[in-house]
Amino acid sequence: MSMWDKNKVGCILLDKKLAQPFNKGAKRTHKPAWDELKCTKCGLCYLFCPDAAIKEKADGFFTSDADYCKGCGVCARECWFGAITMVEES
Amino acid sequence: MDRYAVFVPRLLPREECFLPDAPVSCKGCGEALAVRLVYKALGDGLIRKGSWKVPWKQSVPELKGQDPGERFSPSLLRLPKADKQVLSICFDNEACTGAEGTGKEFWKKNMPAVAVAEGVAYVATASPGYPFDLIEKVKRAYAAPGDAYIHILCPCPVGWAFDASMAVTIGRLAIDTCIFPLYEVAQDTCLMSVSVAKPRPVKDYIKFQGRFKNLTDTDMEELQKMVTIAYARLSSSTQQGEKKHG
Ligand code: SF4
Ligand code: SF4
Repeated sequence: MSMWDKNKVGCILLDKKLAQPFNKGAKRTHKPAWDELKCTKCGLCYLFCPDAAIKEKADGFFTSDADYCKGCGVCARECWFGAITMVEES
Repeated sequence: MDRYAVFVPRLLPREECFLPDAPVSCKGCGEALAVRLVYKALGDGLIRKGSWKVPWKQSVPELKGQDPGERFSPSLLRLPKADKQVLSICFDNEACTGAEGTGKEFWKKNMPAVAVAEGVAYVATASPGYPFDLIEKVKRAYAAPGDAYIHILCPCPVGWAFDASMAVTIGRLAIDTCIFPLYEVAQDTCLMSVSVAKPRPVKDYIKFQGRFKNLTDTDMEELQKMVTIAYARLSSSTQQGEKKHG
């Protein structure tokens, strides 16, 4: 959902809902990818994600929510086991 | 995988009170992470619906002095407790003091010390680099009788000019280099939360941040000296506090 082109000059948002309609993940360049052979399900990535984008899957492994992940790479750096790599967004 | 002590989903509520529905934060925002952890600690109970499902207030209480270093304008989150008491949480991203560390005249105001001097019942410092410590402090501050104040140092990738993926690492380095010690003051007793036995050189913290790139080696030495002295003073007052208490 792109609305940036309809913005007023200076990106002033006149709508009461402010920036809610914008997709948070749309400007991401990289996204995390999990190597489930290395992952120990410790959950540190989930703890440290500033945007609460990491969700626990039914099998206990973790995955990122593409709507919220901004591709910052905090999860990849904080994983002690090197289970996360940042891959380029296609 | 029970052999790992850290298993976060078992230690924390899974429920996510913090929903960054509005893209109010940049990527790798230490402040967003701190807010999220604070609400992990407090739960959904005190929440009025807003864009983050939390009463998030960004006020700018500028404390002005003659000296530019006396200025201080962070975001404050104020939560009412029982009996008109307030839990204030300060998310300090050092935006106003981007020049922190360029010399004595720009050293930022020591807000926790001001709060202690003002007689606030519970004062603590925290960092998203030590998440469980932060969560415990927020819980304790909310349970403590009287007003409470928590000062959280939030690394800001844009303002401090470092790589977004370093946000948590920088938060941890601030403690490991003793530049931002973690402590809590309750009932006139000061307790170090993390006592750093072998502080890392301040340079480790500085070198990742673009905002400090104007520092010369002499500045760095002076800064190191100031940090060492401040830390020594703080830890000695801690010991006194412990003696008084026991
Ligand atoms: S931090 Fe690493 S090992 Fe731990 S759950 Fe996340 S990916 Fe798995
Ligand atoms: S890259 Fe950043 S925003 Fe995306 S899942 Fe990892 S920590 Fe969260």
